[in-house]
Amino acid sequence: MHSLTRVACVLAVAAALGNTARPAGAQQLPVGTAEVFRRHADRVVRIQVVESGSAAKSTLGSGFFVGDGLVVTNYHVISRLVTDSARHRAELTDTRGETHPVRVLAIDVVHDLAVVHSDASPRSTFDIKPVELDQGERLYALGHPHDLGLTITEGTYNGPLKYVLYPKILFSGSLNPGMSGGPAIDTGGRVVGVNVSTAGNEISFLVPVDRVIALLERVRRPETSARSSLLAEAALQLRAYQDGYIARIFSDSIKRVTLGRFSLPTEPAPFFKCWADADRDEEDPYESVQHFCSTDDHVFISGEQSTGLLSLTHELLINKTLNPFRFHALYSGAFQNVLGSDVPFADAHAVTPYKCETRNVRRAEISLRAVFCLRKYRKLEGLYDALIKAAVIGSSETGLVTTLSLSGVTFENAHVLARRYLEQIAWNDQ
Amino acid sequence: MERPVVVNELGAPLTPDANGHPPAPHDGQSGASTPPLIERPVIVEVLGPHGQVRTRTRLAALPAVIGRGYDSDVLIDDPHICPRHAELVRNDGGVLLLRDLGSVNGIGARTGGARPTSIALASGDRVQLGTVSLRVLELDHPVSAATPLAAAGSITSSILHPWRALAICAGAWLALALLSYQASTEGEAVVSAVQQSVYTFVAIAIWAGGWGLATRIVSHRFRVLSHAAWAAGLTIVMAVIVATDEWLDFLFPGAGMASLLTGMGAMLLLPLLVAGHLEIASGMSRSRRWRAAFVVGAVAAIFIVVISLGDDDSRYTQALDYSGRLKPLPAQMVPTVTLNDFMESVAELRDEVDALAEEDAPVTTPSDEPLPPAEPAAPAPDED
Repeated sequence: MHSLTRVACVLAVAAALGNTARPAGAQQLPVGTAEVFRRHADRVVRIQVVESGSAAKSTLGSGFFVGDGLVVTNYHVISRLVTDSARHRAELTDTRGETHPVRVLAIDVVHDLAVVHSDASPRSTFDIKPVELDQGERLYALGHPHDLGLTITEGTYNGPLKYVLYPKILFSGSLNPGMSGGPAIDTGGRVVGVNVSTAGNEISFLVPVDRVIALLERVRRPETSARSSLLAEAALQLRAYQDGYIARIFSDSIKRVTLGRFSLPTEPAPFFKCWADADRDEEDPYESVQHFCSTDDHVFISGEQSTGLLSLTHELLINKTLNPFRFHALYSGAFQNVLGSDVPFADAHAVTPYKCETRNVRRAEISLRAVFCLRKYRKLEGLYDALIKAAVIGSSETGLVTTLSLSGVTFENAHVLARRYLEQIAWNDQ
Repeated sequence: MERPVVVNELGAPLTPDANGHPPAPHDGQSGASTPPLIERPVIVEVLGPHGQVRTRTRLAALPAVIGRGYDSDVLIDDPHICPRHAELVRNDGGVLLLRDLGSVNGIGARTGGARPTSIALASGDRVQLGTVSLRVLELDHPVSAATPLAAAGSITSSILHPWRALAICAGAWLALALLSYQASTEGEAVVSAVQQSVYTFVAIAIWAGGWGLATRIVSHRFRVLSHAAWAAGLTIVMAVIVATDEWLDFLFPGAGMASLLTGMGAMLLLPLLVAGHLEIASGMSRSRRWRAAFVVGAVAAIFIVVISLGDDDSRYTQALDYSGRLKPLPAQMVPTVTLNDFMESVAELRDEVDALAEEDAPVTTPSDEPLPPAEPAAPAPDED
């Protein structure tokens, strides 16, 4: 399993990752790269967010001119202007070294995009149009890795990721912190995507250019009026995006997995990835089998909160030699154990504490200890984190603890999914 | 307690005294011309600073000398008492009088005013001498009824016996070891269970040792074993309460009683623990014991409240508080609700967290304040 690293530009992150980055310039570049760089370099800018109190940069990223004074970047580069606007301002620096203040016009928090405006007058800008490429075509990513100056790095286009909740293009090249928001272009200078995140070892991700086109259309439409706040806009986008995928989770054609005497849901939707593991130590008086599914990708809101991850965990406990009381002590421990991966990181400013409801529920000949825990997002209206846990009661031979973690969903969606999920827990009839 | 009457302040002393007050014209006890009509014996108690009886002397005849000298009738071993400190006499009216024999520290409470030379005492009255008190009792002074042996007033009487105390300790140890064993999930359960119970008992022994030392200060015995038995016994009672709580919570999770019994049990057992130790340790009266015990209980309660107030709940955004105790019971014996009922009760959660988000506002940061007009974050519609 891997976790995606945003090509985050928070300087602390940049410093931490500094040693692991492979310098792109060390390799022998083909002849065309210099030409590509010469033609397009002055369309790329460095964007920094400055904390007003300390006047020091708190975030650093890249962006590119798309005409009309507009600059495209990642939402996560300028997120502090959205979530903590009173304390932060942003500015861009072009290749001539001129600095201009920037203002956020629109965001797409789900796809991690933002359009900002500045008074800079670039010599040329990128023309954003739909692009079709074959897998394996050469791409060039531009940006400011670790604030080392504008850099070009080559890589390969490997197409859109299949089965993901949040669309991304796989770019086999090195993206590093600070390159976020920079363009990835083909040899003809057409923008293919926006640098966004990396999983290390030349596995990097781009936001597809069609998402940029959609956002620019929204910005340029005359009727696009300002919402009450960008935060309200972010919440609305997150809520609207769910309506597309929630219906596909735990649908009737769901795959099932047999664990001991239980038949359980797995891979609730195609965009989940599942894994399994087992602990079978001869000396332990019990065995444990785990089954785990996750959407593997989250949505960046701010440094104080992550959201958008959905996961599912089953843990089967098989008693070998424990008496009923000791087995239930073990079983209670497993049921009370909350994994870090089940609870998305969030700061007290961002969410309320959890509140939980617990009942013994009987359904289809199976008795469950069921728990539903909920907390609300303080700044993003109508969004919640929910954790649903259940344990099968009544047996001292086997136990089953199952957990569904939903983050950044509406209460209605959490309620519907919790019900569908609990309905799927059944005896294995074979 | 009645205040002793200071006779000489009344201006009409009934008897002549050693300081040369004139005797009453028709009466004079020290003159020995007319001996007392009837010689009535009297009891004199010497009380320690906390009211405990140190010595009790039956005086067959008065006058009697009270002092530190070995020829005293009532001997008080106190450095503030003179060898011949005071004299107890009975006047013709049968009233008991305590007379100062020219002592350094005098008789009666030190008020700063004139020192009384003579104090009239009724049966049961107390009068101060140095750091101790005297109490005089007539033979017909009423006494309280005997306390039955099995009375609830003596919650610890049975464990004052060392063998019984030892038996209770051993039983408690076994019970603790068994509880630890049932709670352990590792292969080496027996060893770890014994270890756990040893740790608990070391803690109990230290606690009992402290009380033993306190006991030794006020009486002549340590009674560590009794203190240990009392603490161990209550530890087991608490374990039973906690277990009951867990079972109730397992069977009826919707009743909202989680930890209620444990909390109430702890609030009751703590004063009981202190009261029991005080009873073992001292001859303190029952009401005073309970007063002390409830003071300790109240202080503990206030302490807990203060601690929990200091615990800012809103900081623990990752913590989930649910009753996840599972118990070995066949499924058909566990009361259950339908999935529909569960999902309905879940719906109430939404109102709860919505209210939390409203009232329990996060600690204010600059980001929560309105935007300054100079830096609009939202785009103005007429630009671009």
